[in-house]
Amino acid sequence: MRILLFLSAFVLGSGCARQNAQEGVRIVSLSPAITEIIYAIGAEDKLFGITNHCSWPPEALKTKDSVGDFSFPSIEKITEIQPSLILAAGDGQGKALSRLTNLGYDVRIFQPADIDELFAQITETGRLTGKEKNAAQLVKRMNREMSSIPRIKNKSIFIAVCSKPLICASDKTFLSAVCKKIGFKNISVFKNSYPGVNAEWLMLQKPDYILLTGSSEKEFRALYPYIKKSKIICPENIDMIVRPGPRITRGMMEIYYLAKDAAKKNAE
Amino acid sequence: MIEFKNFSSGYKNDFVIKNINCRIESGKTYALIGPNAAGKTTMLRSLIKDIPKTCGHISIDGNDTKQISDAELTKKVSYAPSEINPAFNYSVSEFTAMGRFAVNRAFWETKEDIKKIAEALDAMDLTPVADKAVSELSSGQKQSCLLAQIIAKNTDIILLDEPAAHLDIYHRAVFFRKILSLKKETEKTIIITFHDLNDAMNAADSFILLKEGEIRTVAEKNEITGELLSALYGTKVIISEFRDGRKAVLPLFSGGDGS
Amino acid sequence: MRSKKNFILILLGALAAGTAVFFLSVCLGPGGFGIPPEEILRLRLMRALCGAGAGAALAAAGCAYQTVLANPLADPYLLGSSSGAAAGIALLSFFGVSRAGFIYPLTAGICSCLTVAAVLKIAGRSFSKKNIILSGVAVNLFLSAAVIFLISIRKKEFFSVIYFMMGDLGETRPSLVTASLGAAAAGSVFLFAKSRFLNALSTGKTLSRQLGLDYRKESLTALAAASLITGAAVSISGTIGFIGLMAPHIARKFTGSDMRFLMPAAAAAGAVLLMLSDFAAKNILFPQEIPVGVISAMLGAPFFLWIYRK
Repeated sequence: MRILLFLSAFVLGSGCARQNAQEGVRIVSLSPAITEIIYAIGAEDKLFGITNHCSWPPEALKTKDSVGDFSFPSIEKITEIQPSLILAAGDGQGKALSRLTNLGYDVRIFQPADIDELFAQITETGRLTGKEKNAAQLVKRMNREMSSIPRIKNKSIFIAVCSKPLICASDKTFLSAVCKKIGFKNISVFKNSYPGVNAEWLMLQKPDYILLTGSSEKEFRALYPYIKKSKIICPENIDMIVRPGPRITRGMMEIYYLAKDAAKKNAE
Repeated sequence: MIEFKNFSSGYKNDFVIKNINCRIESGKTYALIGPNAAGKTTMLRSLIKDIPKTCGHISIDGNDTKQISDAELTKKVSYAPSEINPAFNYSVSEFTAMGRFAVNRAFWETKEDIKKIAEALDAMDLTPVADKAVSELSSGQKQSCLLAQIIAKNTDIILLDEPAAHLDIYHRAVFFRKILSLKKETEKTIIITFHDLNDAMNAADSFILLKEGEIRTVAEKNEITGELLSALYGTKVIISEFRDGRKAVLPLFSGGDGS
Repeated sequence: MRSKKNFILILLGALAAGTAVFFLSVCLGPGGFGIPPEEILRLRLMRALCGAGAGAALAAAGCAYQTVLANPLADPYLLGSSSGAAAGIALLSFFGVSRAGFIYPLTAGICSCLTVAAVLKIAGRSFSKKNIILSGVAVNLFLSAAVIFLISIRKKEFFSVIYFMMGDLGETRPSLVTASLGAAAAGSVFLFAKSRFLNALSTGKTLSRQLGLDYRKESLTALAAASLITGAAVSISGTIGFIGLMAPHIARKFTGSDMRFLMPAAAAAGAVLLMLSDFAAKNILFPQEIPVGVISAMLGAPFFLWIYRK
């Protein structure tokens, strides 16, 4: 439904899109993923402010002004930049965003629930910056990469964003949607996005795989020596997996191959 | 025998007690009197080494207190402040038992300790309230508790700092009766500070007159005159003697500026 | 006065209560009552052990703080002792020191000693009841802010540290648990052996002088021991408030104030309280978990007000 809305907005808006995407667009990105998208579609000349966490591509932090922390950006610095548009991730930024909205800034929240929404948002970013063509190409390329990933069948997964205490990514998160796309079934079905959960429960659920995004495999095994049967996926580059950005398809590929490796290692 | 030799003591900047010299005989009861801030409490607490800054010497039976360890000193000297506010619900018997801790620091009390504690409670008529919390007692009973602790300790020297300050006449009489009988039975050296000079006349054998940190006079009871007391307190005090030889001290409030 | 016979009775009672709750928290789970399969049994045993150990240690420390300061409101949490320990641990993990052996409990203990020293210094000589609690609260706020500052520099530790500040009994690394519980037990036994000294200290400076104690030396020793115990407990459980406040008061109702009887009873009460709090924390919203410090604070804060009004 939301995709439809996006698309219709795109169709309806396309008439005046040319006027919208003027030269004078000044964007502040409050999310590393959005910074990546802007660079990937070649719209970095419209980007005037990023956060300390925008580590990709590497030149971003070198060439762009930072407005500070992801959750607590400097409102003063943003005012100084005078952006015409602020793009944010939403989660964990509520306070800062409501203040920016109250100050009269155009704040848009790009919080994709799954890959399709991500594509819609890439397209939307392209429209806002006048790089529709590049955005369409990027989406096409990502689609192609995604379809090249084989699917995993009938395997359950637990996504641990923190090992001690045990905090998981529930089915309400983007990360979960990514895993679902590969074919995993997330065992954590909760109302909250990132609830703390009981280790006993995890042991009883016996997921086939555990995806670690906040700690090393060694650390996790030391903490929970009794969870033996689950195979562990511990990607080296977490950013590629947790950021709803252009590198997510490569992240998915990494998850897939790490899962295969883990299964092979277990079989030996 | 306690001897002060060129002794001064006090807190951070000032000496409260200034260069005093005096001898306190064993087995007698002394009244330590003087106006407010004369240094009475400081003088008593100097004897248990509870005053941070000192100069000169105090000796007990010829031994300098500086050479005596805390654990030894506590077996010779007991001190009771004028008021106690014990935290928590320590019972009367537990509070009395602490007195034996000064003598025997083992984890459990010995049989002798337990006997001494029972005797002390009995002597102060506290046996019926032995299991009550000290904090629930009346001020008179709290004073008795302190004295019971001291009796359990069984030291030769007992220092009491205004023990009767918060007591009415009845409880005062009861309290001092116990002190007197204690003295009669055990030959202890007792020093008591007083504000009420009638109590002092009733209870003490000898007087130490202290003013502005200096000892003015050490005198026997019969040597105390109205002039001495008037000079000490700076206001007219008269002493009247009853036919049986008892004395009453009367400060004059009206027309008493010496005229 | 209680006798040695009472002591054995109290010890047996405390042991029985502790064992019963330990057994309950191991056997009773969302799946019903019964001995769980081996792996879950091990997990629950570890957790109950952490809860019992940390609870007993906090209670023992609380007993010592209350008695030495003659302050019924004193508690490792309110005195800032726990926060000091937590700040020490945050510092260690900030520099990436691995969580094993004695280094964590020891550093935490030293930091909590320093914190208590600072709080007492700020409160001034009088050791007045409200002064101590107020300066404890101020130091607490300062240390929490310092910890938040540390994790602002390195965002990675965020979840762990936030949960740590709210109490978390999920520690499973045996080397850390044994080291911490060992340190806490040693400190508690030391304080217990000094029971009669603590009794005498509760009478205040002048009276404990007349009982032959070097007040300064003895009270500082006891406070240092209590802080080391707190540090050891915090290094496995995080900062958990009010257990050290509630347990001694509950135990006092049964045993009176004599430390020889109070300490074992309070330790059992602390263990029971923390195990029950943790049982609630992990089962109320199962399989979601609530930080155990939230439960203990919900019980403890009203209790604090009750003691305060008395």
